This record gives sequence, C-alpha cells and structure tokens, in this order.
Amino acid sequence: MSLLSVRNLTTEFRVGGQWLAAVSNVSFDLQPGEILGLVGESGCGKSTTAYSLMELLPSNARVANGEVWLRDTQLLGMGESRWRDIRGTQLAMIFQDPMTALDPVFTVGDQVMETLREHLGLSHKDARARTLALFRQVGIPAPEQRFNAYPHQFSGGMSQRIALAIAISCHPHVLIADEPTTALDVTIQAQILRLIRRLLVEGQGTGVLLITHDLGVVAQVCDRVAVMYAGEIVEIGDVQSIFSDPRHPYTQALLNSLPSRQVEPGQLANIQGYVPGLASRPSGCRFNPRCAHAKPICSKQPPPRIQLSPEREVACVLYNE
Amino acid sequence: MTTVAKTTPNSQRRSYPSVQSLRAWFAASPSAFVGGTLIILLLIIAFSAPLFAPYTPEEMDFAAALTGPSPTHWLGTDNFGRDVLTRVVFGYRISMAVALGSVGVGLIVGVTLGLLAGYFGGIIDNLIMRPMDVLMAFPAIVLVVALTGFVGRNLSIMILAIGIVYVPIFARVMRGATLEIVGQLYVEGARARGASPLRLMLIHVLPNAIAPVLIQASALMGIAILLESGLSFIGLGTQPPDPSLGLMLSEGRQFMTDAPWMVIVPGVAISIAVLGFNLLGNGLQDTLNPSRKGQ
Repeated sequence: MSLLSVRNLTTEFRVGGQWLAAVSNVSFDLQPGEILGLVGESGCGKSTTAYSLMELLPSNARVANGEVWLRDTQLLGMGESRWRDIRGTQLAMIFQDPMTALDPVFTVGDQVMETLREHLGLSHKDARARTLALFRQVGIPAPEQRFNAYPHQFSGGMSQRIALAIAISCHPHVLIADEPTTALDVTIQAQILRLIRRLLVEGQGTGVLLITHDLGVVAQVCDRVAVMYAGEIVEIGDVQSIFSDPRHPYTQALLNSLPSRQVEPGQLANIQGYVPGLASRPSGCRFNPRCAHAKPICSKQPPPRIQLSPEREVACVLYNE
Repeated sequence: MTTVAKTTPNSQRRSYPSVQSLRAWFAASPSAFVGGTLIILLLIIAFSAPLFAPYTPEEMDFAAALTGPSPTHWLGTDNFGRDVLTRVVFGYRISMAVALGSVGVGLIVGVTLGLLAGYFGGIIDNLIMRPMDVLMAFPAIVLVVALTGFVGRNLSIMILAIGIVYVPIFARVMRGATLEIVGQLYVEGARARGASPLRLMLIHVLPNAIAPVLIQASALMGIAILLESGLSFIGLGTQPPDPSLGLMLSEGRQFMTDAPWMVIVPGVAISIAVLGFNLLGNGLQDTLNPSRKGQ
C-alpha cells in the first residue's frame, strides 16, 4: 500500500463568481522513504496541490473532487479537529521563504518546543533537550546559545534548518516541501536537500513531496518526478528515465530549455507562448497551442493517459498504441 | 547571518532591570524612556497622593484664599483657600484612573472583537465591524454626554463611557493588524503543524499584531485625560468638591486675572500627563519592533 495516495484531485478557485479549476484530476502515489518531485512552471498548480493535500486552502478555494489517502485514512473532509492531530505529526510542511516562516516574536527554541509540547506532550525540560538534539541534527552550531535567538538573527539557510527541525520533530510520515530551497543560494540548497534526505528519508522512512521548479534539484535528490502543466500531471515516472528519455512534448521542451555547458553560446531554447490563465485554458490537451507536435485531435479531446511501463505514465496522444 | 556572531547568551533577557538594561532602553528609544518614566512618576504620585500632598484636598483656609505661590502653599491657593498643589496631586488620581480604566475597557473589548473579526473574516467580520462603524460615527463627547445624562454622573460611568467610545477604535486597529498577520507564512506554518484557531489567535496573531494597538492605547490615554478634563469643565464629569484637573480649570476661570496659578497649574499638569503618554506611544513604535529586541 502506498504511503500517500492522491486520486483525481481537483481544486477550484472562485474567480469573479465562478469556480475555475486550478488543479484538475491529479493522481499520484508516494511510497515511504521516497522523494517525489512535483515540477512545473509558476502558476501550474504545484503549490495548490500541496495545500489541498493539507486542506489548508484560502477561503476562496475548495477541493471540488478527489481523495487523499494516508495509508488507509481518507484525509479530505475529515473535519478540523481530526486534522489538528494529523497536521504536524503525520503530515508536515516546510515553505519557500524560511525568513517569514518563523514567528518573529518567539525565540527559535520556543518555536521548536511548541510543537513538541503540543503534539507529544513533553515536559518543558524534555522538550528543551529534544530541541537541542534536533538543532544538532539539522546542523545548528552552538545550539545552547542559538536556542534563545530570534528568527531575525538567523540567515535564510539557518531559518530553513529550524523549519526543518520543527517539521521532523514529531516524526511525520509525509513531508510536503513547497519550494524549500528556492530562496536559498546554491551551496545552502544542497545542504538542506542532503539534510532532508539523510534525516527524513533515510532516517525515518518519511515520504517527501518536493515541490520545485528547479529541474537541477529534481535530478539531485528526487527518486521519481511528476511534471505538471496548467493544473494537470502530464508525465510521471522515475527521475532517471524521465531525464534520459522524456516522452511528453512539454517535458521534452522543459528539459531542452535547460542551459547546459556543452552548448555553444547563442540563443537559449525556450517554449513559445505563455502558460494559459485559469479562465483561458484551451480545450483538449492544455499544452496543444504551444506544442510542436500538435495534431487536430489535440484541441478536441483531452489526451489519454498512457501507461508506458509500470512506473511511467504520460498524457499524450502521440503514444496511443 | 548578520547578528548571530555577536549574540550574547540571552539569559539577561528575563533578569531584573539593571542600570545596563535601562541604559539600553534609553538608547533604543529616548522618547519611550522619557515618556515611560514620566508616566510612572505620575502614577506613583497619583496613587500615593496622601503621602505627597502637604494638605488634604478639601482643607480650606479662608485667610489664605487666592494667595500666590508661597512657602506654605507652593503653588498658591484657590478661592476657598485650598492648596492648589494638593488638589493637582489628587486630581492626577482621577485623571489616571480615567485614563487607565477607559483604555482598559476599550482595550479588552476592542482587541477581542478586532481579533475575532480579522481572524475569521466574512460574516463574523461584518457582524462585529458594522456596529463598530455605527459607534465610531458618534462623536465621542456626544456619546459620553448621553451616557452620563442617562446613567448619572460618577467616576465609573465616565470611565465606562469613554471606554465605549474607545472600543471601535481599538477594534479597527486590531482588525487591521490581524488581517496582516493572519496572511503571514508563520501563521500558515503553525496551522500546518496542527495549531487550533484559539492557539493561532492568542499565541501567533495577538503578540505580532498588538504593537500598533499599544501605541494607540498610550495615545488614547492622553486623550482620555483631556476628555475627563473637558467633561468636568462643562460640569458632566467629576463633581465639586472632588479635585479633578478639568474641574480646577473650570473653577479657576473666574479668577484668571487675580489668581492665574489657578488655571496655569492644572493646565500644565494636564499637558505633562498627555505629553508623557504621547512620548510613550511614539517610543513604543520603536521598542515594540521585535527585530530590535535583544540587540
């Protein structure tokens, strides 16, 4: 059984009186000890997917359809009070901007202790000892002194380490990481990603859903990757085969537009056009107006989901038969 | 990692005020320091008035009526021969009680309503804030006049009346600040860690949103003193022979040319208190900013 199983998730936003789907029919599975990358351009619904899984959507959004199973529990629509026991302990989340993810009026030590005391019911003394141990684990130098420091005294990388300490403090089964390294510089990025892998995936068997738009990050840490375009998953599979043999024209174009050191200087490859807005999504395959291989049928009906191998699935008419 | 290197062990943070920390406070905000010291002094004077005052406020000495400042009556006497210094000191009692009481009422009710309105939004927001708008549309003095007219003239009614006038002001400021903080990532993060709405409101939103409210509070304390003086001046506040700064102004008016100290002294006394609260309010803007804490 999968650790986390998402089926036909559709999330809508209310825009000017009507509900428009930001995420449509998204399905994927996450196994224990696995990092699944969710990649796509800005506005393609990556973060909305993440927030839907936690049911932390803004008031103008709703999950219109779909199921989210954590082992054998259906998470969606289970009510706020039950959610409170699950959030933080079974599903944890870290965010893009570590500098604003910590409460500025409390010391970082207090913030880590808060979750420990709330969820595990530890005494002040035990929670403090645990917090210091966590600080050491995530690589905070001189933890006793940093315990009483305020978030503004920390750099982005250090703040993200604290956020990570909070996230792992209660041994979550699933970590949702919403662009955790986007705001950090490259060396810190690598350190944080290594920490996630070492502490969570290898240490606790946590499943990680890593949301990013950085294909380099995906190649570096993910086991599998799901590529999103305009609210839909267009291709999903293991990282190695997707990077070496991308099938969906969007994945191909995306990988093609990565600058590489081998190519001679000149124009960088890009994908023509823009990601369509929520209200102006084309019919049929949503990528068809920008697709180099588009056929007449592409604009008429949605593409079939084709199972290329047990691990790989692509939504494109090119692979029909 | 700008300041981490010079972070000292923060154990001093919870220790008793030392000369060092007072100096640090002064350096962080001279205006909060001066204002705060002034207010604390006035509070001490007000609440231990019998110790400081050379006479009792009602003690009359007709032989010495309307005499100017002298060694026996430092700030002169009024038309009944009562000691002006004594009456100012006791007047501060009423002024401070009104300032603290009315702001206390406004703060407790207003902050609660504003926090709920800002946090939940939607219908709850409208249910709370529309009546506040109506209340806000009433000129403060009219509301107080009406209330004292209905219920009677005594100190607690006046405190309550001014407090009610303050409720919508605090509710608005609190709601605005709450709206801003609720959108912050750390609140979202706490929710993602399973915090309850009550916990989010009290632990994460309130401390982050309270700064502008406290600044508003200290300004409104000054205004409460002015309101009390104004109400007493027009005869709706403190009743004679109780000593109130506003009442003293009103009584001294007729003797302004013969005994100017009768109006100057309470006038200056009001100004000092209002100034103290305003300085404190200005200074709080600097010191309440968490990124300056612990520096």
